[in-house]
Amino acid sequence: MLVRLHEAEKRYDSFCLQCSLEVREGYVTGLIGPNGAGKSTAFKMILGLVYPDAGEASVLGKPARSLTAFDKEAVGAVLPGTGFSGYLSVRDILPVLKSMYRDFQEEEFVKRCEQFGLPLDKKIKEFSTGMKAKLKVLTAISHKAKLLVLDEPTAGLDVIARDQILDLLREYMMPGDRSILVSSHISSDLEGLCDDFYLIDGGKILLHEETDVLLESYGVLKMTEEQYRTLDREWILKVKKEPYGYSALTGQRQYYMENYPEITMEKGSMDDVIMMMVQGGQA
Amino acid sequence: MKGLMIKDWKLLKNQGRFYAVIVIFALIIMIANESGYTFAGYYLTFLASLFTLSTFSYDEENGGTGFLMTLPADRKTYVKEKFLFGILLTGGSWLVSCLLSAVFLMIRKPGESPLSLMPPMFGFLAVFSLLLFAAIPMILRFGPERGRLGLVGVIGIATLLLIAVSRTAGGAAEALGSVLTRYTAIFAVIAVVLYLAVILACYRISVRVMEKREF
Repeated sequence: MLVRLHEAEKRYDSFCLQCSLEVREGYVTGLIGPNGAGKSTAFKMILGLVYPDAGEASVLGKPARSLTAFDKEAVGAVLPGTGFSGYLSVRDILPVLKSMYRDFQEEEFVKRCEQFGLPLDKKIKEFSTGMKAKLKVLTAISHKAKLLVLDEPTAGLDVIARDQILDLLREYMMPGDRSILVSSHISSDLEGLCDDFYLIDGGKILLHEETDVLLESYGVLKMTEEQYRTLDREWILKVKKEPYGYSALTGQRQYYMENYPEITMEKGSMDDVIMMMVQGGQA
Repeated sequence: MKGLMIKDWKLLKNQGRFYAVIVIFALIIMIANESGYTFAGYYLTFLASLFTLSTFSYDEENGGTGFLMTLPADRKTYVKEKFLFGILLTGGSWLVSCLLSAVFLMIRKPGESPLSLMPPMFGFLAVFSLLLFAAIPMILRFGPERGRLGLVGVIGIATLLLIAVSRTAGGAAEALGSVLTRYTAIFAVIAVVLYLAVILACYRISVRVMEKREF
């Protein structure tokens, strides 16, 4: 297990994170949830930037707060809104990365910067939001890390750049023994990239599911009040009142399609899961 | 640590033009002021210590210190690098200013030994380096802006205390002065030991603050 949060707790005045999650070797794991759900706190706990008040946060088999510089060479991280000082240029950070990471792929890094339109001699503060986002991802994957911890890596990127970054991440996973923990507001990015995902809200994990299972077995039933009254609710996860009646999330789409052919069934997506799990009530 | 050190040198290099102007300004002042040989001593040493502190602002920009802690550098190494960078930059600037002051003295007063500049020059080095090292834990604890304000407050209180002590115990100060003159070497050794002890204490407090800090 490359990352493990076990009943990890972090308490603030108005917020409490209590979560358990794991990132397995060879897996791309997504962490999804609305703003303020606790995603960034969980990422910071994994990166040793905040300390758990209770429970355990471990990375590469060691407590996150006691990772050495040597251990950290195996981790690449992207955090929203942070990075190298804007008063440095890409050329300035080359020797910094070279002296920090023994496996820093300088030639490839420079080549990719050029490919992504990042000028080497311009100050980072003069970069656009998208350029800064690209630089952060390119930096994270530049040293053959075993684990990437990416909080909102595609934020601020246009569709084409997002696609390029996602391709880079897929390419990064090719050796098979690497892992990524990633969050994004754009659920389609995660659907196409993640093997499994955790849904978090209010500091708690609401759901952990394989992406393939979500796409194949989850669905949203849309029905009138009459149809809802006669529905077998055993496999209904959440229900929401709608102007036309009810919508309900199920993890057994096939069952309801076979037994209730008159009910409209929509294929599940991450957006549906987030909406229903966060806003819906118990069946 | 090497990577962090390179980062700070690159930041310094990128502000190179600004510092070149400052050095030229120091030279102009020294040329214009015929009797002041030690101006560069406190001016350049003070600015070097200020630049070391400004690297914290560059790091803190948009929470960048947290990002640096995700790189292969632990919190203790970060503090160690800042102290070393401060020693190298302040010490280097102090050496340059010693040379400048000595050159000006030799040109203007050929008969006077440059060694006569050493007591005030060592005084400048001690004061500015102590201010720098005392500011580091405060900046790490309260952030660059509030840390600097806190340091100004501490300097103000210390100055007021010194004034109060000198006014209420003027006779005792005179007596202490005469003892100091008689046993200069012993007091110099005590001062150096105290100086090193204060730096070590500042370093240890900084490490403790940094290790407790969350980003």
